Amino acid sequence: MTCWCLRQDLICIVLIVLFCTCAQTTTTKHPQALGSVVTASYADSAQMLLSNGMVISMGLSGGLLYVSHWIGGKFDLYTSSGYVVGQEEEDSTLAPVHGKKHLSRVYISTSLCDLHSGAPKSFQILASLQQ
Amino acid sequence: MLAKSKFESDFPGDPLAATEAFTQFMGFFGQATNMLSFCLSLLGTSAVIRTLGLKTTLLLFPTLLLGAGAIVYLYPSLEMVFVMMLALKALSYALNNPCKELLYQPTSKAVKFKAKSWIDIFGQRGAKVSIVLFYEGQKLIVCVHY
Repeated sequence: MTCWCLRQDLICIVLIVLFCTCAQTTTTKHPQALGSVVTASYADSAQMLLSNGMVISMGLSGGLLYVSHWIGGKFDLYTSSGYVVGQEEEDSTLAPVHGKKHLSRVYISTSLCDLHSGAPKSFQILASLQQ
Repeated sequence: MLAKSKFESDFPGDPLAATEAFTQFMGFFGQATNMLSFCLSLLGTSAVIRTLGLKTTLLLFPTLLLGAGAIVYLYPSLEMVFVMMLALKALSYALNNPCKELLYQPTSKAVKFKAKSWIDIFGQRGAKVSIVLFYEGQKLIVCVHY
């Protein structure tokens, strides 16, 4: 059980890092570096750089549009539901309350279930469980 | 590169004058970009994010990039590239970067410390290195092929 919990934590951390890396790295550094590669590739001709570089730029913009749309959607979903990324990791380190060792897990799963309804009911459920 | 080739053709046989004109041009470009970024950051960033919301503001930059790419493709000239680059750089500093930082809002303190430092130190450099490796690999393949 402990092993499974540790694995879940590990998966969670990997997902968080992936989420944030996508947000920052994919939207900024890869296109920048790719732009430099394109500039270096067509260093001999300015005309070729303009015509071919703009086609690549437009393709990259399409990719950026998709990433921005995905990240923006996730952000809206998390903020409207009150879900905090990485909160479960901090909760799992807390001492068990009233012998319920996996209370934090209950909190996480209910908060995830509430994501689509839009109302953060997690605290109410947590309070009723503690009673 | 475009500006360099333009000034080299404007001053044939006089590399010093070409370099001077290029330096002046780049200086003006830097000043204009920073002035526009400053004005946008001071007056526009907060208002735009509040009016449009984070998701739409995030989508604004790639949409403008797409538009700028199309305009430069249709009307290729140094002046057009100058204006588009000016607008895009200013928007990148004033809108895109604050939006990226706002994305950390629904994360816990631990994630902010761990993930952000990881991204800033390894992620961003790793992205650049991966593209350099891709470029070097591509050059190697071309060399072996021919």
